[in-house]
Amino acid sequence: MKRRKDFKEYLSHVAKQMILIHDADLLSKMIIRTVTRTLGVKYSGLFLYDKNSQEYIINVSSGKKGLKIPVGFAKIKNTRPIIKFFSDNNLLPDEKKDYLLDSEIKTFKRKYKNDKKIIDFIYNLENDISLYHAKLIVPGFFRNNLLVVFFIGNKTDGKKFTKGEIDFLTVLSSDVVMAIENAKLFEDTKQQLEENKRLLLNTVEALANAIDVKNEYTHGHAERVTKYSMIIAKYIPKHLKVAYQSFEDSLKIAALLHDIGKIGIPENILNKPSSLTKSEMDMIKKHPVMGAEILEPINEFKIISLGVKYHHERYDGRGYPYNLLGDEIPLIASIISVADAYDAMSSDRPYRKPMRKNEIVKEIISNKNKQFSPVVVDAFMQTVTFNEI
Amino acid sequence: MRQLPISNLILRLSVRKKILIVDDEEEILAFMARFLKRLEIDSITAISGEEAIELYKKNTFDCVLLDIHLGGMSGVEVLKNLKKMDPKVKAMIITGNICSDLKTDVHNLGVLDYIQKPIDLSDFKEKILTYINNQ
Repeated sequence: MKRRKDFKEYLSHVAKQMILIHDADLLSKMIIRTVTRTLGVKYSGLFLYDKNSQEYIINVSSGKKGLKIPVGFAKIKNTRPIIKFFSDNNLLPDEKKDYLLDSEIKTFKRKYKNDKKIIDFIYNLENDISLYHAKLIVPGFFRNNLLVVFFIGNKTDGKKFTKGEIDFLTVLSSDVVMAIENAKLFEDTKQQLEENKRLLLNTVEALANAIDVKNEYTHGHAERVTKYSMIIAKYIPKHLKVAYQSFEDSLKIAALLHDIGKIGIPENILNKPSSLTKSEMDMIKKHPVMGAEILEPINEFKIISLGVKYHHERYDGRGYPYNLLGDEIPLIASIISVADAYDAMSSDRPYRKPMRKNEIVKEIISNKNKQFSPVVVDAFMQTVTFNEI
Repeated sequence: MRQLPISNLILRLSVRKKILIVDDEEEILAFMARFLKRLEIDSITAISGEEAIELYKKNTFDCVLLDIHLGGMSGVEVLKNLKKMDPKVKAMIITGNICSDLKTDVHNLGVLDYIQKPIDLSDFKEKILTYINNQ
């Protein structure tokens, strides 16, 4: 008596834990293992409803060699009697549908012997049960839809299932359904988030292109700066990135939009082939602040706007617009700064030819601690070593 | 006319069918062998194409149950080899997805049917029994 109470407590503890697991496969594996061990059965398997094919596919199974159904190997069509028995309330409507013992088939045969159609169904049902080596079958429903089917084989000691064990399995199966639904919901939410992120990036890319076309000399600049920034970021020590929430995502958007402030600068100044006057220069120097002002109202873009606002600051304090010094400059802006300079030097401009890669590398090294943050230059050097830029 | 038990047994032994199961997963071989045994069909298992060919040399089979995706020698190659050894070879192909490429690859190689994974065991039972009983 004591022992049975223990197994119930144990299983109910497991059931509670399950709700916390967001991986449906891991979850079903745990359940099946627990059921097989605690009840001492030769075999048990869980078939899970697959929305796409509308069939029930073996998700996990455990037990003796030859009885265990390899994962993903077998399925049950939704037209099979063993599924119909549970899913179609018009079939054998007088029978309970919360579990089925193979020993009940005999009773059914006697009870419905005069109804030819029902008897045929019962014989097919019996055939299904024997195909899956089941002694006990327990369904799991979610909002009246059959979602899982447990097949449980003979006990190793040959004894019958007790009422307590059967009751517990039916409770467990509804817990399993809830846990699987939770896991699905979690997965769906994650996918939704990914989708939102993708949409946001598309929008940001479109915006970045809008700035690019204004400036005829820098076509593709935003995209290249983004590419270089992401490569450099790979080599930035992890502990420097943890201060930021989703560092890589923010960096990507910031790099794409770093020149968005130029949208407010007249094209004749941006594309002027000769040197700029003092007032024109002042106008150009406003673009980081103007860009940040565009982005700051977006709550989720706080960190991103830092990258835009400070990408022309210099490590030695001689940059613009705020003359920030050293580590006052956010890392995200320091990375964009190096990537930006790299692209500027490697691009063709009206007043000079593109520089060769080894010249650019020399230039960037010589500006370590001057124009550029030493951490970022070190990371940049690694990208050069591994030939990634 | 009443038959003697011994002749009954001989009759039974002589009609019992034998199938060669080829799959690179131990679990699937064990499951299939047991499944066929319950249908009173004998089977021998091979974990690779090479082993299948060796076994086919030494035994006669009514049918080969062949997973098309094997590690090492592919299912199609196995079937080609078996066809050379025995022009009357009969096979059922087990596969993840049935594409038209596969059907042209194994054309004329004695394929009885394609069985798609995951397998509905009722369907499978019917297919195998229909073939065995019609032979």
